[in-house]
Amino acid sequence: MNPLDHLISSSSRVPGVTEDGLERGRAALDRAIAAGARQESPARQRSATHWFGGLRGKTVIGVAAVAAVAAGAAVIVLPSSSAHTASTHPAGSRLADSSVKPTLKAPQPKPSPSGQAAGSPMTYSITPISVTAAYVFAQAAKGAQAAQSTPEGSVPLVGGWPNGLYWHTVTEGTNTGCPGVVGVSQVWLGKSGSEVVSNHQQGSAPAGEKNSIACGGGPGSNANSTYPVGNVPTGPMIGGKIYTWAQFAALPTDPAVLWPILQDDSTVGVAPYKGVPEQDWLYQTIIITLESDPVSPAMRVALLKDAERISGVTVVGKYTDSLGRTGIALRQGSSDTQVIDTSDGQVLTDIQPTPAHQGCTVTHPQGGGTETSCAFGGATLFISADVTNSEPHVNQPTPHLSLAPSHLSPVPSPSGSAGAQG
Amino acid sequence: MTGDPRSDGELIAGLPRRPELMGVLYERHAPAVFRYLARRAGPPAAEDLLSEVFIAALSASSRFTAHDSGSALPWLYGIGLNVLHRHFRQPQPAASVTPDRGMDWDAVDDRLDAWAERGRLRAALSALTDSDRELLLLVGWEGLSQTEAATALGISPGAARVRLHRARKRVLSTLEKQGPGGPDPQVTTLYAKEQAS
Repeated sequence: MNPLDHLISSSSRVPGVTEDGLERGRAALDRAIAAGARQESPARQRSATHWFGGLRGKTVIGVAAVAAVAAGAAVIVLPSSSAHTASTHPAGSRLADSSVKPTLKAPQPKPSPSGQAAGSPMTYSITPISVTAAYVFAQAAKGAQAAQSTPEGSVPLVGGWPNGLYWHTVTEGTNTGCPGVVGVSQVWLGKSGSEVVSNHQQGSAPAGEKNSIACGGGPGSNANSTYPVGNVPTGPMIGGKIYTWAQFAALPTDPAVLWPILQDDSTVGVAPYKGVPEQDWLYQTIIITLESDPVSPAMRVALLKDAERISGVTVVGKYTDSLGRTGIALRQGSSDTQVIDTSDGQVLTDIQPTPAHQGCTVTHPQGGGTETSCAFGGATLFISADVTNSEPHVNQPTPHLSLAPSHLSPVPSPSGSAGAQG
Repeated sequence: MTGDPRSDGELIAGLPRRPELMGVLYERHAPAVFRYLARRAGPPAAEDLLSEVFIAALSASSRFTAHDSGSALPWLYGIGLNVLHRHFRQPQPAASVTPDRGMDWDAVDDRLDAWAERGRLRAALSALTDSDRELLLLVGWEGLSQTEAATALGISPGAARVRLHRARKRVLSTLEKQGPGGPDPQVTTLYAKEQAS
């Protein structure tokens, strides 16, 4: 056990609640329930009604968005989970579903006014494809190689490195705890060894502390904030190893030379994943680096080529995410599912099943193919990852769900860049 | 605990019309929520705050959907964190305690057997932000999965995965640098400064 796990484990022991404490708490709760029943009964009625209306709203919005994608519209105004649903069902059947009066007995999606049911069981179509994971990684490497050589996909490199002050990544996610709200996370990894994180919730959480409290948005929370990550060294990481920006830039881009480095780095601080086979750990190492670190185009190619060596990766199928971006969904062991765009080697989406629902229900509709239904813990879309010279800013406009898919390509660094530092 | 066969998800779905179902959730989860609070605020404060979590949950439940087989615990912990924030904002009887928005560190230190370990965890974790630290502890102390911890904190699961990964590595490197002795005073000072700003 490493020192951190030892400290956490030894400090986790606390006495249980006393009988008296349990009873006092229950009595206080019962008083609040009784008071609430007297005062809030009309509000509760409204909430149940709205819930029903919201379900219909969700469906309509979802269908509209699919039409928008088909028409090549640049702006997609749609929360992520709705489109998963919409892309699955013919409009008719979905609308028919929503006309069936749901019972309150079973948990149902409880859409917010925006029409989103974040974290509710998502249903999507997977087009089965009979390829191996190694083939997918090889294609992604080819795509990354090609993207590297085309003018619009290239990042100006200085000394083989993206030329800018920060590596800026934007992700959007939904989670089960807070329906109706999309969490936008931005990370600025600084060339000088800094790291700034911004979490920002977008969506339609009703105002007021009582409601926002369940979204982590209560007073004093970090749900909407921008902050430096702390006072210890940070930087690009491979597995458990922290690199300086210069060291990271100097990593070999020959897959054969990079591979033993990945093997070594992936075992640093491996304790949190103890019991996880080496192959899983290598897969996680490569995916997390591709997702979050300032990977140069050449290094992306090398990482994807090395990923071909990992055994036990299964191809889930062809997957279209809620922004209309298509990629191949891969899964290693019992971990998350990642969707990789083989046209440029970018990770598009990370889907996390809830622990109780790691297996998904697969049905075979009449039209052929498969329809997969999973209760996900959440889904994260990787929106952009690029070099920038703009300082981290709390009010920096985020490209929430209004992106053309091309935004995922690396964009050239702004003019007046800082030159080759570190 | 309780013999009620309904899942947390079913109970929560029924709450808007039948708030008394929160009582079943209380019977089921109060011990775990108490431990959550006690780990961060000490057992006496935890006993006072226990009912507050469930009462706040009552107000918030109309917006929440649990999966059929999902547990309400991540959601309750998320509410617990906000209840703790409110608690720690109030003037504390022990004025010498370093103000911290989510943790009574003396209560944490009391649980560490070896004197040398006291302060080490605090110093290591104080290098993290509140939300990164909470992510780490929800997994380490409460045994949540990464997705559940993300749920509790209202952040996206994929981002949480990366954050947790990075936070762990950075804390480990701090601990290694610290050695087996006490906390690095520089880290503690910097943290206090950051909190004050």
